[in-house]
Amino acid sequence: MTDNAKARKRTAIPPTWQALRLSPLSTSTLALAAVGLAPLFVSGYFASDVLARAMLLALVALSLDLAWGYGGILSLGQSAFFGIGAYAVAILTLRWSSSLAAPAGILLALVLPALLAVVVGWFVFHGASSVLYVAIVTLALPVLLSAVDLRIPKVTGGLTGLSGVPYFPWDSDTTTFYVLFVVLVAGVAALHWLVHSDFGRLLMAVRDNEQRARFLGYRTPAIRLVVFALSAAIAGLAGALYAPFNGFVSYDLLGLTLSTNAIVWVALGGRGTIAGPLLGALIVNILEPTLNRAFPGFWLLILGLVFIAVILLFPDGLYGILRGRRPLGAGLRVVAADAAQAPEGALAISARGLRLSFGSLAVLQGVDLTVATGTLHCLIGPNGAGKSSLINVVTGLLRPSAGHVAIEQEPLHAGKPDLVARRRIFRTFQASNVFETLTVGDNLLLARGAGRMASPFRRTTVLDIPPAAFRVLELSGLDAKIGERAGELGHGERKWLELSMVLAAEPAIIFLDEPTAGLSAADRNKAGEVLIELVRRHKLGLLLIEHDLDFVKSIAQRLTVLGNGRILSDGAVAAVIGDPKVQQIYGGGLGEVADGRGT
Amino acid sequence: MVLGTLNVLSAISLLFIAAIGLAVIFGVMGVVNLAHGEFIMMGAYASYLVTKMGYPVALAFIAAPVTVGLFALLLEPIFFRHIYGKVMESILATWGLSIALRQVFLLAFGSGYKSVPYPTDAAVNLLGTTFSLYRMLIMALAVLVWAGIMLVEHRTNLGAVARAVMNNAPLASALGVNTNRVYAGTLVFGAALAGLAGAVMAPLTSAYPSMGLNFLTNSFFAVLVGGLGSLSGFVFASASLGASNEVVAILVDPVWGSVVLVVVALVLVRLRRTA
Repeated sequence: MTDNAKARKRTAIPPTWQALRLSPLSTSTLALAAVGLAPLFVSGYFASDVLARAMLLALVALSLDLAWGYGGILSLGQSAFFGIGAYAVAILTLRWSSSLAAPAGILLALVLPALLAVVVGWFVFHGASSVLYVAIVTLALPVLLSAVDLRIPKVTGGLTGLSGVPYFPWDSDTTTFYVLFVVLVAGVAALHWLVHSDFGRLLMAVRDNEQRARFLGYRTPAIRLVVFALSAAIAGLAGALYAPFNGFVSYDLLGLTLSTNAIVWVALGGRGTIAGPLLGALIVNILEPTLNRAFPGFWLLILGLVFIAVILLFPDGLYGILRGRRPLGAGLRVVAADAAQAPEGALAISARGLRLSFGSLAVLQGVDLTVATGTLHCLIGPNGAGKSSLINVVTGLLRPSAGHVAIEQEPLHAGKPDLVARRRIFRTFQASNVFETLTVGDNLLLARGAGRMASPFRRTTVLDIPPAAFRVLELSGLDAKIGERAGELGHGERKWLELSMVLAAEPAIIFLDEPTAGLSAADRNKAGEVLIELVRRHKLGLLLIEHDLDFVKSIAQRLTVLGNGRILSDGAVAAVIGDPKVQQIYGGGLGEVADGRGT
Repeated sequence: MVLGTLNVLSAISLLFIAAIGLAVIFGVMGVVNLAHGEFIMMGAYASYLVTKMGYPVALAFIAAPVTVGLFALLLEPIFFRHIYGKVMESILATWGLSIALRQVFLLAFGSGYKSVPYPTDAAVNLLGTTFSLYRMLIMALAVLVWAGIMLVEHRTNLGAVARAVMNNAPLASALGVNTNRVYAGTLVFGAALAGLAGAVMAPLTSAYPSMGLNFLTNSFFAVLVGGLGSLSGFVFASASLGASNEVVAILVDPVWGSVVLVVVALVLVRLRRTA
């Protein structure tokens, strides 16, 4: 554990209650300290059996918390990973009389569950993965594996299971207790480190807004795969330790019971915190033997009902109630980078013959569009003309019914917005799209990463962003709100944040979907200045969807008018506005602009 | 060959009947009901109680849907109403409900299998193969349920209102449709279909507390492969999954059959997302 953690623990002792509320780490530390000292006070049986088992199962709860609480992967399959781990060690140590059997078993217990998770994840995380689909597929894992287990009794022992699994290489229960204790402490510390690293921020960003992460260039399915595999390996490790601890493994380890229980522990404790699931698993498992004896049969029923009540009434779990609102980490400081922006190469993205239909509704009917660096390009058109749809197709959100998109003649595979973003082409959304659960600073950090895998070993404290991005922060006053949660910002501020984010990503081309909608006139002028400077000084390419013609006329170099899914006119601003076809749509209002009499 | 075909058709019908209640609830309301399997289990126990009290087993096919439908009606205001439209909460809360229901039935009836007699032991002779009349009736029932839902969906005002709510609940609500009542009605209808499935299954599998799990995953795969709110997609999904399951079950082994069902479902969903 870090010095910081130790320091926090020292200061936490006098106002214990406050510390419990404010620092999840101190809660975890206190809980672990209590468990670690427990053998001095309780009976040997209680420590070596009940407590040791509870610690093993807490490891499963932590593995689920990583996948579900931090990764957003509601896995009902943790028992499958746990069971595979237990069987790997049991089978190897029973069948292979070599000193290598146990280490090989543990290795398999880590690798096999992770592999299974990768295979399952490859299927379920593809595209926009739904919570439900993941839940159902992972639910099928334990059901299928326990059935398969019974089907191959030669390997697994079938109904009778495998008994006589060799104990650990030592005899003392106390040693076992402290080995398990050390493993659990290491697990908590590693998880704490991981979720507070840059990678942890990326993980939470993907959990809360996968789409935004993809449009910043992150391969979100791969990130989910990594987390799920890691979670499976931790559950497998718990299983590997369980086999020698229990001396007996059978098909019901693979079954749904443990998965279900783990969900209950994590949900009761509070998912997305480390202390919550740790406490949930420890407390439930310590109470269970006693309460089960007191109310045979009713204990599970009561647990089920409490679980329902917690889900409906306290979705943040019991630790969530205790903690109240999480204070935001003061961690990140955002500064403007000294160096001028890296010189940009010229880049163009072009669409040819794009068509897009939903059933009989033709949204785009053969559109050609090129957006290149060094141009401030505006796209206008009446409501329903297909402006947003066009951007959605070009940036890879929607798949065109016909036609294709190419970056520098290189055809683009539709449905891969992260590939577009990694060519330094970014976009904003009509309704602002930011990571609402993260702070302004963390939003910028992720944007700055622009698709590069965030480090699990680093925690950035000073973030330097390109001067243009920093200017947007200053103009909007967001530089004073770096530590605030993005979800608590006003609508205008979120639009500014999103603009600053795409600038922080060092873009070549940006698509801006109504960047000034809902901004005040003063803000709009400020935005216009920033946009013009981006193009003039930094040679960026911008495509703006706009409604305000005066604004368009004051900033645009090139104008495209879209109507009924077709390009009506395209070219220099004055020429387009003078076009009779455009005049017809916009009538008098545009005439004034064209004549230069507009205000 | 004839026998094989009949077995496959009967497996498809069983999957269709088991999953149709789920498809209705999920398709209209987007409520994920992980207690669906337990609704089927309750239908099976209703069947068991009807026959145990000495009534003819045919009565079970009315009693089971009514019982489970009523149960859902009672739970609607205190439970289901709070999770409409919330995917994560509905997964977790209905999962909790399924745990509680399994436990209640375990406490009330014990873990043993409660057998329910077949409504008919007769067999029919088809192209030289004898086949259980009951299974033939199940196929007929599946077609009947399918036709009934098609009729309600496309030929009645009720269906039009349900489709409107399915399409755009806030708009339907603004037009004066009582969406809560539509949701409640759909929930009860879906639950009643699950109860009916329980009555159909009871003679085949007997009634036991954990029986729901076997139907839950398969039903969900049928719904997920079929896609949201599409009856024809759902029929296709039931057919492809039910058939692949049964073919492997006949040729190799039922366990591998259920593995194959999941693999086929995964591949189909992945293909649909890529296309």
